[in-house]
Amino acid sequence: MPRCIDSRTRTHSRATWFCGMIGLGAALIGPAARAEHLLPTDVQQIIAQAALEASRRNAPATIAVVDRDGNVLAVYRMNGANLPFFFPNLRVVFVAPNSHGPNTGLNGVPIIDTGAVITKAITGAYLSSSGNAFSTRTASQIVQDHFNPGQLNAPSGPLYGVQFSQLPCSDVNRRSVVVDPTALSLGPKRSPFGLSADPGGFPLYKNGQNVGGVGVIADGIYGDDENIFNVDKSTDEIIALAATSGFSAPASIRADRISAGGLTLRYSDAVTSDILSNPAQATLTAALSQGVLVSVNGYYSASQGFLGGQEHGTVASGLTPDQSGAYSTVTPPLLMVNADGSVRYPARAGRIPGGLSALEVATILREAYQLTLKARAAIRNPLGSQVAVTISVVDANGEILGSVTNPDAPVFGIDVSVQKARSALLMSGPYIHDVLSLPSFTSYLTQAQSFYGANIMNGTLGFSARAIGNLARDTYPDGIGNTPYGPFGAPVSTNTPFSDGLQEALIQGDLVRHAQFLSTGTPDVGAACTRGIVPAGPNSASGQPILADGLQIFPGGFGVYRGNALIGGVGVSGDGVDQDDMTAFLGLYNAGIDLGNGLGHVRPEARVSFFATHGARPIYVNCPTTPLLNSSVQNLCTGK
Amino acid sequence: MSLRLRSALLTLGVLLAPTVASAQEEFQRPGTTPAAPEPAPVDNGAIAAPSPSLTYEILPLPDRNRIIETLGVKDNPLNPYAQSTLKGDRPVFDDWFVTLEVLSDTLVEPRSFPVPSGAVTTARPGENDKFGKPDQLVVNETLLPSLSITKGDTTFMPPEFEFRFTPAINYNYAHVEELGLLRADPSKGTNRNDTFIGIQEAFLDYHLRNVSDRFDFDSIRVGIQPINLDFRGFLFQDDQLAARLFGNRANNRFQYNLEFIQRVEKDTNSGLNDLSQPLRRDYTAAANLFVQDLPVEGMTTEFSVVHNWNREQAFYYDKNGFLVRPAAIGDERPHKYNVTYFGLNNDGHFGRVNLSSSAYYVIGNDSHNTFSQGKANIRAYFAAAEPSIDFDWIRVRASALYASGDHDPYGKTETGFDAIQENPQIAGADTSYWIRQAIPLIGGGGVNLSSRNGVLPSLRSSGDEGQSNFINPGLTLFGVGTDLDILPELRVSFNANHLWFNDTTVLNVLRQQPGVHDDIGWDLSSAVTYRPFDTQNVVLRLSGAMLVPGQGFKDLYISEPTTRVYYSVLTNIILKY
Repeated sequence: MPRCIDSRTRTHSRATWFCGMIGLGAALIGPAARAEHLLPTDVQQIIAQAALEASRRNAPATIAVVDRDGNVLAVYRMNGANLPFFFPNLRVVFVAPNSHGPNTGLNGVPIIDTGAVITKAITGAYLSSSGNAFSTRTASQIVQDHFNPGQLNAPSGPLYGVQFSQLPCSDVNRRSVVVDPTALSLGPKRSPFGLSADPGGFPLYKNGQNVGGVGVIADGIYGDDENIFNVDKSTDEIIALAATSGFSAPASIRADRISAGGLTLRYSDAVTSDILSNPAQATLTAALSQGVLVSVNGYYSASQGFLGGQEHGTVASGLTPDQSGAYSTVTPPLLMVNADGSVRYPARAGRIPGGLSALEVATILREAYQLTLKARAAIRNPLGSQVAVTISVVDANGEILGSVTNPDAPVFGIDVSVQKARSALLMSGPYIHDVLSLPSFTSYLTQAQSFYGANIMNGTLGFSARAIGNLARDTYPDGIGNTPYGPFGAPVSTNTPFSDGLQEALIQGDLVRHAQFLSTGTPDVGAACTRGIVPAGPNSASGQPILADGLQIFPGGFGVYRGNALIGGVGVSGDGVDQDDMTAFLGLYNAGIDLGNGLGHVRPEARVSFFATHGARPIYVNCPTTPLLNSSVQNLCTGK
Repeated sequence: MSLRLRSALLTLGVLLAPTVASAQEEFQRPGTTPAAPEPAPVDNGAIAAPSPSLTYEILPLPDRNRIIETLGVKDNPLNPYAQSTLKGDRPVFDDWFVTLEVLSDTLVEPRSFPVPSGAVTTARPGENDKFGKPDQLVVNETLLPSLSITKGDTTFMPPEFEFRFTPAINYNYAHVEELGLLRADPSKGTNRNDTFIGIQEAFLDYHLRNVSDRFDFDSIRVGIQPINLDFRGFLFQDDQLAARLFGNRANNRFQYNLEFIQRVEKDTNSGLNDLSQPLRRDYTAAANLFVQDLPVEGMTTEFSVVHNWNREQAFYYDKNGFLVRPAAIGDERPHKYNVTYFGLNNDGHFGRVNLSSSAYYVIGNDSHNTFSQGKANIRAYFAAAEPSIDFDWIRVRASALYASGDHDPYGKTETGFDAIQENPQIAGADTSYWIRQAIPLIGGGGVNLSSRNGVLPSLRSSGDEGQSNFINPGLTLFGVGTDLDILPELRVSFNANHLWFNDTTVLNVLRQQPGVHDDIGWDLSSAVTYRPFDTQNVVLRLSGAMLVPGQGFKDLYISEPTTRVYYSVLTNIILKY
């Protein structure tokens, strides 16, 4: 039974009709549920509940609430919150210092508290769906150099690198109406610091549907959870948990009911019995006597007051069901739309002669999307759910040629799918050598060449996002102690989720600039990450860098070839990484079969997986066990 | 008259006058009053009985242990089956005996089971999916020299004292087709050579006292010793560090054991005891009572209570770098548990029907259910039976086993049965594919569906090194088999077992995969055992088994090509001195 929760709207009669059709089973057992959204009074209640708990704990906090598409609905700061004694006039928190070596990257830097809490709230909202509820603690567990963190000889977390997505410089994620009047409430919105691993960010739910997220910081440290085997008493998390009262995720879909490779994910170390206050007694009056709504440069204006969230899946949310039937008439995907309802990235041809045609783009998207409808989800409950992801195709210059999203796919995958497509494209193409020849990046080129010889990165080897990830960890092979760090990674001593090598280095300048903008109002970053580092590709209409939303280093992206020519990239994100990998891999492969014109993957012997070094070879693609629902077929990707 | 002298005279009497062997029956048995013998028929031609007052001519004789030498049966230290002082047939001094043994166990084991292709690298390019090539080869050679020093007459009464020491010298080799299987570090390749010396026996056995004229006794044995808490190794069979008080009563009608066991860490690749590691924080206290001829003559019944408490809350990695405690499953938080097993076991026969059966009920608590992440109770049960009947040289067997499965991993009670350290002798034992091979639950955590030499699908990290796990799918097994004693030296066995999970909920959860079927499949095996000298000194065994996957196995593992079966071949040569 296809899920049809988020495509239902109150105002869009045709979408409702669609939903009625595809939700026939649900219709038979009762009236269709409506797409939920946060009301301004909900936001007030959430803030008030957090404020009450924070005051009971004598832990003045900064709190943000966002909707599912990243619109900031309120940012509230209690008197005295996040006021370090040595910066008496600055409201700052510190990115946690490196626990095992010198600070590099973002470790130890001060950032504004409001940016931290928006990031935490967005993390809760974006990683979650109506089939899975992930918190910032979940994020922490899956972005570290071992999974589980601290376990020896265990490979890195499955979403290693996802913290550097939804970046403030992303060209995919939109900006707040505060700085871009045309953006209105259209999602997905950018995030100040990507995604957060600092406990104290949760998704919010109404009637089982993800409607947003809440983020709290009171402890002054924006960090991560490096020991997941204990049970923390995190002030941030307890306050955030109090905030979710009445809006909490259904227990059956929380991370602690979902496993990745047999390992249960963490949702919250805080439990309701840790809450000192009675959230039901929280009042806005009390909250406003202890703190105020605060404006955040580029994200929120306190004069807006408490805003309501959008219904996800409506035009106003920036994502609405496809009306064309081009991908599925039974379960149409969501498409990103503009304010007028026009599709933001309709399948179109590339601008480079001989590049991808509109038909090819549409075929890749359709094949991949069709696969998701029968594929087994890895991070969604109930068991037996379909894969829910975003699939994006980019041109050889990185421009987006089309993107489709499964109903109820977690929002983070929209940006990440594009990142993965572009990352595979860049690393497989002729431009990466120039990038790594820049003075700040030569160490990566040197390290790559020490692994693979001088001819690495010359545009002849096909890199997938997974293979890039294999080479971008702090150990090689991934997870094994006392091994060299991967060419694109950072040494163990300096590697943290805030400093992970090439990925972070490429957008460090953007993040620092944005952090200054948040704190002091200096000019913001443009909607083009890596500008000045990564070149624009040929025939780019916008002159955007190929990697305009940053590098991504976990599986689910491939170069698109016709014959031996690299003509684009395809990326998938939003479900288990093996599901992402399979959807992108087979989507492209099957499209090539359909079209019969040579479209497909790089020939196997030109894949980087053909070249072993240091006792290991990168993996080009790795498809999941029991990939399809209602089928025991295995090894679906072998020989392709 | 001391018993020894009496027995010596008896031996002499038998030798000199075989026709009076029936005189044995006239010995008085303790606690009975023999009937008065029939008066001998009068034969007037017979020689008169010697006069009671006549002085005997005393004949010096060698002790009974060496008297046989007068018949030409010489000490032969080279032939392990002949009379030998080195084999404890004769005392070396007074009544001190020495027993030397050397056992060589050679195993060549080609096998296949589903394996992952590698999470971070692969052995070959183009391995695009999770399942790799299943074929493997294991070669294992273990040399077990054993020295036993015993004091006391060993024929009629328990020895007064025994010291035994058995080290094991092992070499093992494994070849697989995929990386990351033999060692956590995939760059270490697909072959592994390893050697290890372990201590399998090192104990003192002291005979505390006799408690009856029939030599019912109490003894104590301390050290590394063979442990088996039931007839078939369902609960705990291993060579482990233990203090054991044991003995018997009522003419051996009752036997009892009181044991305390603290487990020794195992060497990962040889399975031998590794005393270089700290002892495991896993303790077992066991009390059992064996009653002969209960409920009928020929049937022995064992009642047992076994308490196992585990306090292993530190992370422990095996020799190959894999996490074994806590198991890499669920939330992976360390936990401790207390469990008490109540057991009822039988072994013997009802008339012509042999029967060995076992039943356990276990209760206890787990400090941390790795799924629900809270405290949990443990309630699980197990039952197994293996009836057989002999028709001349043909034995026909039936096997049945049920181990309860867990219904709800997130519940407050864990209901999957697990043992402490099983080594089950049922349904073909290690001839069987399922019992012999440890099948990794690929994509569902760092655990095996079942352990090596184990029948329970208990999702442990390792049968030897892991903790018990009471959140498992449980098992139902029905099988038939036959042992054909074709020649005195040659036995051929066949087994056909069908296996099912009892509840696959936990598998569904771990694999994030709904509806895993309960049918594991058919386990078909055959073994040929050849003992060319009719002794245990040379035993050759060749067995082959295959698993024909059922739908549940297909749901979990690769089933293409559809004809795929998994195999386990054991070539085993045992040479014993």
